Amino acid sequence: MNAVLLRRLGWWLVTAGLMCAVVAVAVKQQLPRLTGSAVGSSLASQRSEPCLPGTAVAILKSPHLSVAALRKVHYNSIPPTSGPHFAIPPTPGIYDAPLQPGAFVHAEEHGHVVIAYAPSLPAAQVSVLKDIAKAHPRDVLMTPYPPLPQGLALAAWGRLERFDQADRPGVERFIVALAGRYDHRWVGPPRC
Amino acid sequence: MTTSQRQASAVQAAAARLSLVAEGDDVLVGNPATATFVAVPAVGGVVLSALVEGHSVAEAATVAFEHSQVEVDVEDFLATLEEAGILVYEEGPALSGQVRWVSGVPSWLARPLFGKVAWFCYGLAFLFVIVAFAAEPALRPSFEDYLFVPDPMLSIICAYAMSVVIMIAHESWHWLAGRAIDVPARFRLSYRGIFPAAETDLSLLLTRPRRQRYGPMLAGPAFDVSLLALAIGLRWAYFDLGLPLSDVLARLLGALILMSVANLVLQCAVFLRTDLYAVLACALHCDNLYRISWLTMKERLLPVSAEESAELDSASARDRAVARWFSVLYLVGMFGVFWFLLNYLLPAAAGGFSWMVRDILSLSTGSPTFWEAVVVALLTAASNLAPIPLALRERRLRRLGRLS
Repeated sequence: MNAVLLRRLGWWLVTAGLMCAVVAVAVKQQLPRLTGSAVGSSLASQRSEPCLPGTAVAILKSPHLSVAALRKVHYNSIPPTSGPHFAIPPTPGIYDAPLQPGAFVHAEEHGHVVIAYAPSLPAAQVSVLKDIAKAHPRDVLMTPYPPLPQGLALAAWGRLERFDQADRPGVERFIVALAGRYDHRWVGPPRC
Repeated sequence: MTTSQRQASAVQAAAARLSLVAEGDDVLVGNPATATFVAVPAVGGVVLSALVEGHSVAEAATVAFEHSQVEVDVEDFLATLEEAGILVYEEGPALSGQVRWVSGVPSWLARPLFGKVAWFCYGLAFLFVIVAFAAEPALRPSFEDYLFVPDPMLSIICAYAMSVVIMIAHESWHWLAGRAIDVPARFRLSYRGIFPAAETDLSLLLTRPRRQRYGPMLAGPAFDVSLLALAIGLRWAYFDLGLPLSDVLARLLGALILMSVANLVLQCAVFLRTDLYAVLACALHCDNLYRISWLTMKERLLPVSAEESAELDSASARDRAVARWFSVLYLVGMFGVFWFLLNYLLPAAAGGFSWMVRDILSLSTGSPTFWEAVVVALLTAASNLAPIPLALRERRLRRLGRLS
């Protein structure tokens, strides 16, 4: 075998090795994701953790659904704390128009806290909530939520707390205790 | 017709249309009308300069001998340049296949944007970005920042529109920087690996000394950094100083930060012929590094055609030397792109596409969501499939000799 062919064989081996490595890594990383996409998120067991603010809510199966399919979904709480949702999460921040549950449930699945308030909540109290949301720009989504008859509700993955008015210490306590507790799975050891 | 049969004035006029730029021991001779360039020994530049000064062919040979103590067959040299398409005797429209070069903005208007003060400001903007990201982690981009309006599909449409506007502004900044030194440009759609891309062709920068080329090459990233600094500054003021921005604008700024950072990170992938690749090739004194690297790697793996072999043989020694290691970087980089394709792009495109199709099939045409889904599906398909026809088009143009 001449030198050119030998050298070419060497380069082929390097290229084939790189190709195998890329495919192996891709398969290893993608298989769970593809499975998850097909059957939805695996159903994590609830952590009751009674020392945390709010009350535990049973966790629903949480597949990715289309807009049309999500219109027929019924959740187990107002606002929902788990369940079917859109494939892409909305960014944390303050929303003046109502976010759809399919959007903010995905944010909860990423460990964010949702401040959902009744459209009837007085403007001064909404302003207090906005100040709190701005102080936690990466953790909080704030949205009007018409199904709420009054007051406001704080929702995190599998956790809910209701307030009649904007109770700054109570809201802060919920955010600090529950933000980042879940991100497609429970993060860290139990907090109680 | 040989050079000796031409009138001296015709030879001198043709030589006067060429650009001459000293490049180390060589001179880069170019025809700006056809954007073709070739490096020749310095004595070749002496010959052409003598012709431009009004000397005859015989006198130019004498000037060259006095300069370099080398006998130059000027007629043969000029015939070679003519064969290479550099020396063109008939002044007229650009050769077939050439796209119009875009000028328009006078250079004096563009110059302040790329003067020393301007570059100092771009540098300050870059420093501000680094300091802001270090000091305030909440300002760093997250993939979640992509969806910034309540309607998820409208968000995707808005994000596509924003990315197009940013891309146009980025390319326009390259073009303006070219105008600042009187170098015209042309725009075209191209691709970078698996990504569609707009491109500002500044080939005529080769008519300028290397140190003048860096500004137009870095102008696009300078725009990205400036936009990023502005978005970060406003978002920081909104969070911490109570700047009365609307909440949707604050979220849009987050998306802008994400897109600008993504653009700048992509620039570092020099194996994708990015702006930083152009800077690297210029700093390494290469003329056609990307093509020679590709051919070098092809030659390592497969037999190359006679034409490709001749192209490799005619490449400058510098291009060939750098291509030895750059081609390895290219190969590894392309496998990185392949990994990105398998891990992120294909799953995201497949997931998004199936999401849209399910909405299209289950909603009525009277629903706004139906039409949003149609638009997102089309955008997803176009952005993922566009590199294929673009690559085929460039391959065809290259075979026709209309793309270097």
